[in-house]
Amino acid sequence: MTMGNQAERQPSDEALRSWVSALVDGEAPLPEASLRSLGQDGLREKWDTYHLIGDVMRTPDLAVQPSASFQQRLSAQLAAEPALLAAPARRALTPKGKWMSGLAVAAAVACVTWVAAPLLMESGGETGAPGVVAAVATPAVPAAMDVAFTDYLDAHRQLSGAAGGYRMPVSWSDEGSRH
Amino acid sequence: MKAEREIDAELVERVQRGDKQAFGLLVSKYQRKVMRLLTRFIKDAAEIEDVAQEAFIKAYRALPQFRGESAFYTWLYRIVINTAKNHLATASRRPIPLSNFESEESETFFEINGLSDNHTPESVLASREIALAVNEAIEALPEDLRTAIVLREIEGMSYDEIADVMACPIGTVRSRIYRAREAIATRLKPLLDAGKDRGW
Amino acid sequence: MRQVFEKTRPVAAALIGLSCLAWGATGHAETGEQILLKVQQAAKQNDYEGVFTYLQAGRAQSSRIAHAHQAGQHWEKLNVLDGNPQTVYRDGKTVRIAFAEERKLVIEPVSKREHFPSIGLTDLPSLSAHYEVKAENKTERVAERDCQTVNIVPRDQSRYGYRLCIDQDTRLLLRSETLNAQGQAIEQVAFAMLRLGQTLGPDALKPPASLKDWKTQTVRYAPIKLEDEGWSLPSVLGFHRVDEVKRAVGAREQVLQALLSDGLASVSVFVEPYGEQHPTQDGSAARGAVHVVGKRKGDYWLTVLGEAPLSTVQAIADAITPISGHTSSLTR
Repeated sequence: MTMGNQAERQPSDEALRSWVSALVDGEAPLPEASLRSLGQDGLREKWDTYHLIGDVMRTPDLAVQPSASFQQRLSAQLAAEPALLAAPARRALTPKGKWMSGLAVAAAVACVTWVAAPLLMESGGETGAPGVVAAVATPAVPAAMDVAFTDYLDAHRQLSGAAGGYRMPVSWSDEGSRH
Repeated sequence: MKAEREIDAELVERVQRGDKQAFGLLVSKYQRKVMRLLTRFIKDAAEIEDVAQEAFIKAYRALPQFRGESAFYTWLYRIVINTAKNHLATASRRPIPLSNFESEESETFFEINGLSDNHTPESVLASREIALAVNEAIEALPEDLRTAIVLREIEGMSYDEIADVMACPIGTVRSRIYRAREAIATRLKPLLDAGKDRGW
Repeated sequence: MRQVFEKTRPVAAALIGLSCLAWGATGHAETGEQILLKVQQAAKQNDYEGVFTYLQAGRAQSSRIAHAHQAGQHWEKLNVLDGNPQTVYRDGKTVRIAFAEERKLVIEPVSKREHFPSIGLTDLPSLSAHYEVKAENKTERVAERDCQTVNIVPRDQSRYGYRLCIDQDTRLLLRSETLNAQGQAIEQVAFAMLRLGQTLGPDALKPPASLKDWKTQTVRYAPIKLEDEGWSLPSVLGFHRVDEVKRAVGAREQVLQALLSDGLASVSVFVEPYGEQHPTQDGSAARGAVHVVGKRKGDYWLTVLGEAPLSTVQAIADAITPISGHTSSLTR
């Protein structure tokens, strides 16, 4: 490790390269901030070379490197492209910092929105066929209803035995505490 | 490999949030595979690079629609095939039966010796030299470094698993793989530097 | 090129092969149902400490949990790591939830039904009637442990499917995913970290004496029968009654609650007098795998909620009917 000021602890080149090596294997996290650090000091070159080594070990035919002009032209064209602003695909983060792919969310409503049934479906007249609730949101959703949802959820959890949080969370913080 | 998908997914997410650097990293990772794929449709080395570039830019523009339903490379693979098809169609070349190339698995049936004769003698030489250099470098490694990198790159094991097999801490696994890579990279450096001027 | 690597491969391959063989020996003979029973047992019998994360509707909540058992008794302590800080203490009889910020304690009776980490298994025959349990020959790693996949496939679309990953060693449930009809995970609970063996003794898991001074609310149930209260509710789509009580829900002092189950998933039905705090229109809401349907029935408001598709929850709500000529004990 390079000796430096306590105040500015720069990781050594060795530590950085070792980090890139682990990154290639998915065993190190990407930096929270931008990936600019990977563009510096030949670290990008390391990323390239380490991948080349793996590719060649598995398939000798991949022992080729594109020309320098390929890299340049692609970089130039990429720079000219507008930056993307897509909403990233919804995913969840495990405590280890790895993304889980493929966790789709059906009926993904993070907060409770009361969707009113058509008035025709008023009590008395059900034939037993499962009702289909039309997606017409009532404008005036009483805030009180959101809180009550938590109460019912808690009550269900208590009686059904999901107290360990395995089936339902103990509570969601922004719903206020129970009465 | 699971870790593969995760890193790719993270990089894709960064690109989708506007980080172009992340796309550059994905390009570095897959450029060789993309080019090798294109050699089955296109003979000329310069043309391969043109089409590869076109495919990567198409992929960049299509990334907002990528929702992680498949692995990134699988998705990229299809874009490359389509770009190649269109290129051949506009250049009015003789159509190649492309049904053989639709599946990613067909890539692995590539001839082992085989760089096909689509390449200029110079670039063939370059490939063989690189492959030989990697081979020699690995043979020259001390056994613990060699085992570590083989388990990682060939067996596809995670650091955890390698630590189990080699009965050592994970930090040691990480260090061994890194040192193995550096040793091989040192062997490769003169070839890679020379190759940059030569082109493909 | 390949012969360089062949030297190291046999060693690695042999080691991998051995571990596969060991798993095969224990894994093969059991039916899916037998494994589920072991999962339930494992939850009670193991000492462990870990962190698990619950994912629902794009939100995550992590909790630290420790469990100890000794001479037939158990203790459990759970710290919610995200959001409103709370600690849950559970022993054989009660669950105490301590809300740190408000210095409030809620005491609930322990449900006989389940013990974390486990699935909501109420009875096997019902479960088998509605689900097919398939143990897969597939291992994954969750919380750095090898676990075997067990698929609980619903026999119809009235309920969700589940994909479990069960620790090969202890049979603890390491991950559970709730799947919709398309096979997509809509909820997930998984251990991120798990340490087995007794790391904390039972005393470390008991509530501290200081909690006695906190503002306390005790949840109590009085057993009832819906019919006695004037309501009829037959089995609907395999969901039958397993418990019926009168109790307080939130600020409402007297609410009837019936718990329904199809052997695995559960749905609650709440009946209470209609009041101004209730919506003026029938409706529904959803969060992750949980659906809730509310409807007015004469002078009463019904709420039906549980981990089942909306159509099922709606069907249950539609099946509750008042028995004519009966007066309820519920006060307005």
